[in-house]
Amino acid sequence: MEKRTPKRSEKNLVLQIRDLKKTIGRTTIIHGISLDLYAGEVFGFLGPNGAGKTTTIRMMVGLMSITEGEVIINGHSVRKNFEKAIANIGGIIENPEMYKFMSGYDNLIHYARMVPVIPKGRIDEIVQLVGLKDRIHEKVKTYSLGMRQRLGLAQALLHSPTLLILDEPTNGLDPAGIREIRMYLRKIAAEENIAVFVSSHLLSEMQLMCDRIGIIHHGKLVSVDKVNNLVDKNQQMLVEFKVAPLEKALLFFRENYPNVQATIKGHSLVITTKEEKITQYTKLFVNHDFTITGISGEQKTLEDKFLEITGGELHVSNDSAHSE
Amino acid sequence: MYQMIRLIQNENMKIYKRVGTWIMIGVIILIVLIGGMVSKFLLSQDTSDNWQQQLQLENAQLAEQISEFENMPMVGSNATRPLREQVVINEYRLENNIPPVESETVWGFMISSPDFTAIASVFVIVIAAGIVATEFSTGTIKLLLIRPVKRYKILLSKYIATFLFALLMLVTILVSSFVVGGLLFGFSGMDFPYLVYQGGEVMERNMLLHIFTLYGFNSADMIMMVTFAFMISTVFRSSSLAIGLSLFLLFTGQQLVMLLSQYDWVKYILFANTNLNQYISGVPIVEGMTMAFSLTVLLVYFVCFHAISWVIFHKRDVTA
Repeated sequence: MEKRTPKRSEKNLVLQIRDLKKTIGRTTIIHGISLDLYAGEVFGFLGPNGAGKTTTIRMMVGLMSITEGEVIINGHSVRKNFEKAIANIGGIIENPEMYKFMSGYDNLIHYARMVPVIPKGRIDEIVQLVGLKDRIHEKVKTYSLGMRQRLGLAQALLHSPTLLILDEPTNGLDPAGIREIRMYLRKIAAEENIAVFVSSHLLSEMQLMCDRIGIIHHGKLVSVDKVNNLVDKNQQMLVEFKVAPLEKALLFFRENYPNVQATIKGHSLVITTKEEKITQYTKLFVNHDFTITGISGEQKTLEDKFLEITGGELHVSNDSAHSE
Repeated sequence: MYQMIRLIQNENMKIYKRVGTWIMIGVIILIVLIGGMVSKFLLSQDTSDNWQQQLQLENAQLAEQISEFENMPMVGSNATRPLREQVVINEYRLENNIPPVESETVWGFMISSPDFTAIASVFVIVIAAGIVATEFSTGTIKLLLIRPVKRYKILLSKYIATFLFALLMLVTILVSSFVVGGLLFGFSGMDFPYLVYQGGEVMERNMLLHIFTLYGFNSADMIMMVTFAFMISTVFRSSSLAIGLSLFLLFTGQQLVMLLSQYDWVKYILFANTNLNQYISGVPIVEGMTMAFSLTVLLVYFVCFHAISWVIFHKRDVTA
């Protein structure tokens, strides 16, 4: 592994996934995923359980064979040149399973022996970084889940990888632990310019942790976008107008705004729209002698969008994929 | 090569950091000690000091047996050959004043000590059965395989570590039986040679060399079963299945072969060939079998076991 300069150019391509497919028996589990990942960014790989997150990750790290397509890490194909490609990857696959009968330090020595050269003092440095200094010589079986997770991070970062792959890193952690992991990831992505690939089925968490989010569903990458874009695009909200007479109001509204979605729900008229339009609609109703007894809005969250996509009802255009 | 050494270091660390491993080593030493006590205090024959008289008596008995056998039909000269060789060796002892190595000496105890390898086999099988399977059952295999190391190297390092553990077990038995034998029976008579009948005459051999050979022959069984356990462990990722199946075959294999010994093809079964002692002292199970034949069969099995482990381990999709 060549020596990395501490700061590389921002647009450094670290990971390329090209039309990745996995077939087991006759079932196709992953239907051609393509993705680019750059140095210094945190990418969230989001999808419901069973969508193919773990299979994709296992193909990326060589635990599962690739049926078709390529995973290229820093120019080396995982399929053709496994050792060179994997040397750039650090990872935790699901739970950070360590050898419990050995100390945390022994575990790190174990993994350090498996990579070509680790500078002297690197283990101590990394132990310091993940904050395990006081307990590192104790057996792993005495560790809490949070400490194991940190030891997992330590083994993943030991050989200074350029790509960090974490499969469900916050599984089973308490809110404080989750926050801690989030801080670490943001910090190492920014400071060490590492590309971080995180999978999760928890959306709220991804929203806080990631720069970009890709949503996988039924083995297909249905959407890749920046977190900000995803949220912005969804400034659409459901606004409930308690307006009377109800039926007449609906007809009247549809006449004026044929392209805006409006329905009757209970005793209110529900309009799907944007925040800034509320005043306009209210004016319309008031000016035409409708009685308004209440207006309430409910913002559509990323979660709704996620459910929408994974519900499979809506067609999500794929042109947002590969956008940077 | 350097990488291989470090991988073996890793596997050794994972074996010897477990308390269970040290218990196994302790148990082996304890069994040797108990074995020594039993042969000293319970099986102790009331031998007179005059071994010359005893040998003459034994030779007379042997001569009787030989003539009995020769009068029986259907008994070939093969059956009496070991007896006749024993007579010649005894005569040589009387002529050259070399006392026989009874069990009541340090050598005698050490000559019987290779029998303890059967127990060592059990322990080595336990290690071999676990070394791949536990990585899968605890999930540590995932972090082990996402390193810049080819899969076959990881498997090889695991096999070598198991092999080294087997070696450690044998050395433990050898050394502890020497110490126990020496303490219980005294270290006298250590310059006695080992007598062997070869090519019509009696030869004097180094005793220690003879004991090493005995260990070597007894290890064939161990190595094959350990390799078998290793294969099952790799293929089925279950240490209990590997332990169960290997131990079952270790203890019933010979009987199975005996049961089928009327057929000629039985000589291709693994267990007909694991007992290499049959060519040194005794009669081969199937007539016409030779040491070279057995070694070839063992080698073929050995290669097959490894080939299966390697292919499966290499191709396996890790879903643990």
